[in-house]
Amino acid sequence: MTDRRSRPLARAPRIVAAALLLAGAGAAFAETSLLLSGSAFVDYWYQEDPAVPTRTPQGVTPATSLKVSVDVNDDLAFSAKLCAGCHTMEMEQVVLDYTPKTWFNLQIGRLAIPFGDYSNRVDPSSHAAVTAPLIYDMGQMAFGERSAMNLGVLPLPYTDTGVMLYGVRWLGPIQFWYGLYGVAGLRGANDIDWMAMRSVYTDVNGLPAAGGRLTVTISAPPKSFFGDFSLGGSATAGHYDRDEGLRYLLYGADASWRLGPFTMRGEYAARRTELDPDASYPYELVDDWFDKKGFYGELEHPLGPYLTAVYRYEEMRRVGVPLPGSIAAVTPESSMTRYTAGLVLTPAEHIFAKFSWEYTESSDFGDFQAFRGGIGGAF
Amino acid sequence: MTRRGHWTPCRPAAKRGAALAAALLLAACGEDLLADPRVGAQLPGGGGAGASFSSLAVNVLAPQCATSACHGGSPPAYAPQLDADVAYDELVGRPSLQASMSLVEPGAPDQSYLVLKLRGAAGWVGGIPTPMPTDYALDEGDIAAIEGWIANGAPND
Repeated sequence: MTDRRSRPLARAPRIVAAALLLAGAGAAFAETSLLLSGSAFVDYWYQEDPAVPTRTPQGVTPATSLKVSVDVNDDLAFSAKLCAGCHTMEMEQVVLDYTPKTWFNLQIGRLAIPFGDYSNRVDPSSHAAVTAPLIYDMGQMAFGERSAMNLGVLPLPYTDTGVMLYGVRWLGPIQFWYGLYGVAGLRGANDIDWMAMRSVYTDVNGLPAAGGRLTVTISAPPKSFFGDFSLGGSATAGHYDRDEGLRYLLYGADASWRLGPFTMRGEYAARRTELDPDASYPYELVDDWFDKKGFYGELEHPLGPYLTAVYRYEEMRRVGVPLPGSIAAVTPESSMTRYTAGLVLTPAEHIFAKFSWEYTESSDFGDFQAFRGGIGGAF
Repeated sequence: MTRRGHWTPCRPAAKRGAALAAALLLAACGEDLLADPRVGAQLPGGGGAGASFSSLAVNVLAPQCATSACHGGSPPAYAPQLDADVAYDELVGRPSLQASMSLVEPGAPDQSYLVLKLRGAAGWVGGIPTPMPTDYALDEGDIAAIEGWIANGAPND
């Protein structure tokens, strides 16, 4: 039976976030430095095979965001970002940002967790492809439902409540960026349940999660053929269940390089998730965890002043006993490979349209193709 | 909880060491992270736990779903009524009002809207994505027991 708990520690993140929201709102009235930004994007997802949409959210998907930033003084700022999409309303960010030094800064509140390079580019106006990479997918993956592939390795944006220390140091042309954080952590019952982290910001247990990210960027002069080269690594770990017995560990590496008109990116991410050994599984449970891992490689280049082309190859695997209630087709070693080719049209500043073709090879669900198109704007 | 597998040696470091950098965890567990988990033989009936419906109705549905503000009473605030004495007829083979599928499809937990609501996956089949219960998740064991009962043919036992 479920024991509905109400721990002070579990409530703390929500109280902190509410206090920050009030503090920030007060600051907004007291100061004049106010910045508004946002974006809106709506896309249509069409699948050719009629069998695929029965387990996939084919159709129109909106994604909008509005961010308010207020500089309280030179060292203190408040910002809040509200997003609305198929997961309804979500506070993606509500933070107080204390920035006394470039190498020592502190954020507290609802944080946008830095995991992987893509965490910097989650807004539709910040990436060329219509979709997120499979490893970071949040609800736009065919057959990605809760009990099958279960979305990405880490659906982005990942927002959590806590504290983050971050900063930048330069050694000549080499830039080091770091972020270390302690947060409430991911939640779920017998696997990470992404929807359970939306709208209700209380943690399910009293144990914090921790993680960090480090990036090293070799900067190049602005007009050189060999552009910036970046390497990054991310990791985070914690407990996700109410009984504090089931752990998760996420880790990944990424690289990006600009070479003339070409921008190349590649990322790898993996999650090990412990399973409830007392649940009933469709297979005999030998090792009570499963792994989800994958990577993508992406190439992007302009085609004249108004068009950008993007190509992506990606794979994702889920290895381990399927969850109770999974689609019968799911096997202990399930994988997807997706090929994407897309175009971004930018007819005017702040306005864009995206189109893409995707072909997916799936070990458990067959092969299928899809088309996407969407329009958006940012300010 | 039963014995854990290869990952066991890392447990003390992670239990209270959630505040430790994840890099330490990686270093401690790095060798095991390369190994895929082992999986045993496929089990008949989808591995269902074999709970009877009467026990599920009394121990799970009635106390956690059939409250006066939700699915209890006649008529309930929200359909279907899940009081123990009527829950079977209200669930098995009855169409969902939110999606084009049955609330309980005998033998097919993945085609049963009840399971999708409990797992927060109803949105994937065109239903209302709000998980049930709305403010907390049922214990995994309870959900698995319901799935096992459905996988075994959803008998009225």
